[in-house]
Amino acid sequence: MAGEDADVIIIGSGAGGGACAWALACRGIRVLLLEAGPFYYPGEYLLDKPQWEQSLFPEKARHTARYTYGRMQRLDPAYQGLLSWNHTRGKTNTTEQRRVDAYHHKRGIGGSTLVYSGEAHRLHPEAMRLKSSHGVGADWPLSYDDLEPSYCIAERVTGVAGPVGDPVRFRSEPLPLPPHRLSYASTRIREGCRKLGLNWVENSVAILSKPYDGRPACNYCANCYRGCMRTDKGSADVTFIRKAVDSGHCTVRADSQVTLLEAGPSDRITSVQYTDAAGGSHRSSARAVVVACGAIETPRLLLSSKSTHAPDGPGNESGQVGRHFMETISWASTGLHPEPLGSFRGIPVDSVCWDFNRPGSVAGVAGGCRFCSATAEADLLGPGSYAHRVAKGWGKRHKEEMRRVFGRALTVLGMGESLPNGRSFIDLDPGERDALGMPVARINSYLEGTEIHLLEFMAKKCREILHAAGVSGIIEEFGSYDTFSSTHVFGTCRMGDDPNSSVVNRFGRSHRWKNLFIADASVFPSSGGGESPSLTIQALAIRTAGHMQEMAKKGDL
Amino acid sequence: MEVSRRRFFRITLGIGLLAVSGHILKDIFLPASLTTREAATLEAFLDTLIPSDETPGASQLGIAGRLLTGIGKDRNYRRTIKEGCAWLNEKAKRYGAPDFAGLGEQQKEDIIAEAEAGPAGSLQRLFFEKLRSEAFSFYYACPETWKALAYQGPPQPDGYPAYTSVLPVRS
Repeated sequence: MAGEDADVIIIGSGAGGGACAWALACRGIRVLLLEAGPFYYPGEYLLDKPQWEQSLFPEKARHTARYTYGRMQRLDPAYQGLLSWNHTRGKTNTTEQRRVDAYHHKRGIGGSTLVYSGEAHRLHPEAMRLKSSHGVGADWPLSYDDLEPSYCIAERVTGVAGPVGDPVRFRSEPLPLPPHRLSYASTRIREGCRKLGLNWVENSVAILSKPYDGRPACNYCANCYRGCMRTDKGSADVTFIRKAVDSGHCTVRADSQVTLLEAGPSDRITSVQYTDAAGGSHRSSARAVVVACGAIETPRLLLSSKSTHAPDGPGNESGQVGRHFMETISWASTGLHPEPLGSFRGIPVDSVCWDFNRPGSVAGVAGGCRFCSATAEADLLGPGSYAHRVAKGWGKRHKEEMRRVFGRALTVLGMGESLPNGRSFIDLDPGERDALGMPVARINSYLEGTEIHLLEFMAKKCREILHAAGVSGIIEEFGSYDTFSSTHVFGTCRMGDDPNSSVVNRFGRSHRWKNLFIADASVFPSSGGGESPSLTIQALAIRTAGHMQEMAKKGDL
Repeated sequence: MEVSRRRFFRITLGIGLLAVSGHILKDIFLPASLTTREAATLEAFLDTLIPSDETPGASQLGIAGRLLTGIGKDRNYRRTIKEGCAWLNEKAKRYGAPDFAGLGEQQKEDIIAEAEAGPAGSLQRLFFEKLRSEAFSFYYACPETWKALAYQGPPQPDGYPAYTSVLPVRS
């Protein structure tokens, strides 16, 4: 097939790819957006059906990628208090090794923002200088102030609602929308935090608290991760990508999996090869290529694209592609409250405690963490989940118990800094290929002592908060120590000034390949102290797009 | 008769292949539907897990039918159900009943408690755990079950505008 008529090809349509497509297209730069997964339409989501609870997100062909996992670490009996469990089922991992749950991601127009809970966080400025301040990880090659204008743009486009005033994160303009009121359940947690001397505040979320930009306000169904039927959640498909297409300068191709980046002789990517849903092969060329497939699929594509001109894969001249993998470090405790909270209502993560977010806030740990309401994240949102996980037994007693407990579960979650180590990385599995013959990514994950120590702190604090909030007892706990379960992944194509220790520069451009850019969380040098990464991914992608435009003006692209 | 080593291996291999093919054929020709007796056993089992009280029981809401429809062509699951029903009927014999459905409520509960307490990985334990899980999922997807929970129904299209207030206690 002949080359596409585009200036820039973007691979992946999630938070980074979507934002980059918008930022380029609205400047008149012609974009071809290639997405391996399908289109999703709000009318396809199941939240208005009686059986809504029996599925999480509609499954379609190609909506997830295949992965394998390296050998997981052995569990240490010294950390019994960090094992996941449920009061009806007992321990959820009965082996002596860390088990794999999943890398929770979605392929589809909008990527994983289709299922995210809309959290829109700015990084703590000090979390971007961990190497300088604590001697671990790597510093970002740009500062918070460099990124701040792009944060504002991302907040405007997605319609972020949140509190006024943050003493730590300077902002040059207010958030576009006022915060959401806390759910009744979260007010109980806030009361508990007050007793403990902790600050429990409204969360910043890309969920509309008022009608905005042609989209309606949220009606508090709490099911963001089953797909937003109303389009009030600012997923990339209904914000960045919609606007990019409306500009007339962006073509979107779903079900188009890129299988190869073709590297040319002049340090340039000459074309990309992709396969459509019918198995047809295509080759397209553009002045620049942006890879935005996430911290697992992006290194997979680079490592799979070895050629004469790029014998280790484009971008991997330093051998850094796939290294420094950082994952979601989290702990969730769920308790049962005596009041009928109706905790299945509201927005999924409506409130948060940032008191321990600053690096060094937890004794003996370099990075920080945060705590938040998470009953929806724990998927305790309907009678079905209560029947399985909250009400014990069966028979008449189970029915009576259901009537007693329904709506009274209360979950607090801690999420914290993940640090890179030599045993956490992404590589290609030599023994597994996908349906198109591409090697699949292999996730190698290892938790070092500092993460385990942070998990201990978070588990203790979650329990304290719940008890202070008035729960009668803990009924379920789930954490990263014995289970790999990641939504946020980072670091595998690190951004930096030194070509020997990083993959891309401060604008997301490959150190060697002049027209190759990366716009996803794989460029993060550090994970942050529990902040959700979507807004930072978007801000970085917008900044990258701005840089590309400057290069184009100078004729450098 | 002297049997050469080669002949011995051929015979062994033949027997092995026959056994394997028999197992495969049995699997392929496993009846798609339950027998009348199995269906009655399954209904009785589910009605003991989810009995009728102020809200309907499992059979009143057709949970067995929904469950079997949901299974589709999952042969392993279907086999688990058939063998689980056979296990229940076998246990019923100790009470002098021809099958599980003919037992009294307490006797049914005792047998189910035995399945629940079975060794991890045993047929009866797998049968119990799998069906308990599936039956609850189908049951609580029925609108008839919601009123008793003060639950208004699917999250959309109305959402929960009163999310800042305590949940009204059911009447």
